[in-house]
Amino acid sequence: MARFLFRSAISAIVTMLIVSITLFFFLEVGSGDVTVKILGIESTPEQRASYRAQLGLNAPAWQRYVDWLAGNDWRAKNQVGHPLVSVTNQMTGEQEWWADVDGTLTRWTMEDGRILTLQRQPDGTASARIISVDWNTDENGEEFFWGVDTKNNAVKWVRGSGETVWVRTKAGFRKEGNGPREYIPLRKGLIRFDAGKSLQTGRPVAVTLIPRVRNTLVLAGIAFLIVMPLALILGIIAGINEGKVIDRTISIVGLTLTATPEFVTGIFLILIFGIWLQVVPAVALFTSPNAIFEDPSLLILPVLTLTAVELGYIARMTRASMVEVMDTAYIRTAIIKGMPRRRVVLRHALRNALMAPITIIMLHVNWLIGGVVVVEAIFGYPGLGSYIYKAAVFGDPNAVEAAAMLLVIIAVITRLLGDLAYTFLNPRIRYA
Amino acid sequence: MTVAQPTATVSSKPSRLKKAWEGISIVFESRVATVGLIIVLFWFALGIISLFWTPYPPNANLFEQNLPPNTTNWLGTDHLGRDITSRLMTGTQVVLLKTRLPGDLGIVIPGGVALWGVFGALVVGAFLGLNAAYRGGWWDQSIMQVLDALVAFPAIVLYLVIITAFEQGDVVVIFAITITGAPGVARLVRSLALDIKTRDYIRAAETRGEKVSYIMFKEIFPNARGPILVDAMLRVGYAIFMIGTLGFLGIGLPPPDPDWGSMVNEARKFIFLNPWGVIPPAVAIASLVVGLNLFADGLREELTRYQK
Repeated sequence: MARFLFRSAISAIVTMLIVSITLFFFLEVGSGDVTVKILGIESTPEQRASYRAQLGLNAPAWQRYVDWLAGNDWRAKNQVGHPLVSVTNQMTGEQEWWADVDGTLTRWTMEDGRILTLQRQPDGTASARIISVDWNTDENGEEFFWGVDTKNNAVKWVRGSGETVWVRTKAGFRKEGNGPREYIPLRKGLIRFDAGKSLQTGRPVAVTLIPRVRNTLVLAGIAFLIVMPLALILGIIAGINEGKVIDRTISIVGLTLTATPEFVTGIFLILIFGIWLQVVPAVALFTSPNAIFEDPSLLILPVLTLTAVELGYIARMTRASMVEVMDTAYIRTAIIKGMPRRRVVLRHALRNALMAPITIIMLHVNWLIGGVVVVEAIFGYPGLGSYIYKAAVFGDPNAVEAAAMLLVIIAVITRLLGDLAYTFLNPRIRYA
Repeated sequence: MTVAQPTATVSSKPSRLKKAWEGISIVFESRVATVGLIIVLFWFALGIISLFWTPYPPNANLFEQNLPPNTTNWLGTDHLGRDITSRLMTGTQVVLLKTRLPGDLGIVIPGGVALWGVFGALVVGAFLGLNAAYRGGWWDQSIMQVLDALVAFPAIVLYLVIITAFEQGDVVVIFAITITGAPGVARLVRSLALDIKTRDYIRAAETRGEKVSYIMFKEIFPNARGPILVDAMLRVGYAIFMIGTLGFLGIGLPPPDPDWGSMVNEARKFIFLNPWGVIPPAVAIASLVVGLNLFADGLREELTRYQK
């Protein structure tokens, strides 16, 4: 068993690597100039170039991938010459980077061509001091200094000549002198649980992702709780009545529900319940991230849509499996020896018949997530699906990668659960 | 004592036409498959008619906007005053009948986006699956690991990323369908090939010293084609499903030619003004996918019945 779990873990890691490289490649090929999307088309080329540099997008693609995966503080450390540490800011709760200069947490900033040293006080504020810093000289005779700036970048300042940079503020763009020449936006990397910042919001991905994952879990969880028992029961009923009217009805309705795209189902549900019958809100407005907990009626149509799509598929799987089991010799023997049919079905057939559907349901989680993306788009539901959709259309690598990694983990875990359920239902199978 | 003479009846080969008909007539033994086939043929016919004739030009805004069904516009008009009947008919083309190549020349090749996409998935998937199964060992391990990775994360994310990576276009959608479909085809082909590989005629071919590629594509593949065909039919349905979904999300086949998914998406925005607008394209997608599914299901049932 331990070996089996170990193998699954290895396979999961390889999968995540392949998936992340694939995604990174496609985002790289296609994103075009992402700064246009962030800054708007009225931004000037200088503003875009400056912002690109600040985001660290000038680094080669492979380097950005390594940064994303393993972080770059170890790389920047060599430049700065001091250990870099990240500290939680008490005010915002977000991570801040500081250089550890002989036990004092330090950052630097440039004013009028001179470097100011900011030292972190125990209460989290910084005090500015003018301490002479050691300038290094490059081969062109320019003096430069690598330090950590106040925006969590490792940066290279050049003595006496502050670069002109465009700083993005809430009010718009501000032109500043005193800018650094090179930037390395510091990050810990995914393997140390830092998914990086979203290009769309400028905030860490995790901050926006977590409430959305919670919303989606609620949606998918409720749908799952409705679908599972209903689909299994319908499938079993159809399976033991193979060829009869009730079986035909369940099969055809199930097939129709499965083959109908989620958006069609969703639209019809909106038409019927929202516009003609007017029993539930046709348009769900999510006024706050917690709207679904305040007004559960918002969930009705999204859950119904997901249920409709999943129900047919699982019911049909269960039916097929049940038909197969009912056809076996041991069931025939049980019926012929006069055992009550009820007992045959419940005690002999059921356990074996459930094996196939349960593994399939577990593999089906991916499909469910595909459905979730569409359902969330129809109803404007603020969940993981609409997050992925927006991030992919925007070309926001950190956000897409983080969400995709999450999905891979979900897929791997459910596959594992499926395998375990399989051993439980069929004790003959052992994973060594 | 009489010796049984070998009854050397002249084996008159049935003509190709007759053989083909025998293959097709299986369909009519299953009522489900027949119904499915009729639905699919209906849309094919509608698409072919639309190549030559539609009630009105599909992209011309000739009428009042958001009309419900009436005698001039049988299915009403959309938000730009275009006739929905004409657009619905023309919408069949991009899915089933034609693919617009990129470039300014406007070259159009026959065969819809869904069909080419599934064809691509078949080619790539069969190639990978055959190699994995027949060569085994290291080939098998690495191919299956990559495919597992592709299977492990939702197709929709892959679709979104691929389509936003390149510009919207028919070929990009085909490419996306190919990539997302190939792992499934490869797994199926692999499992079939693993079985066929053990047969005697493969031993014979190996003894004859046939090339690996000959054995894979000439000996194994043709003997696996039944289940692959049924699977391909389901995949066409799924591809149409996906094209509709992408159109609905606003990143599907490019305008101006009508596409069912984007028709639903546009009509949805005016659903309070004219709830009739969303119904025709929505029903079109659903019925075509259901038809293909029924057809494939019925066919599979008939095919496996012979095996039993």
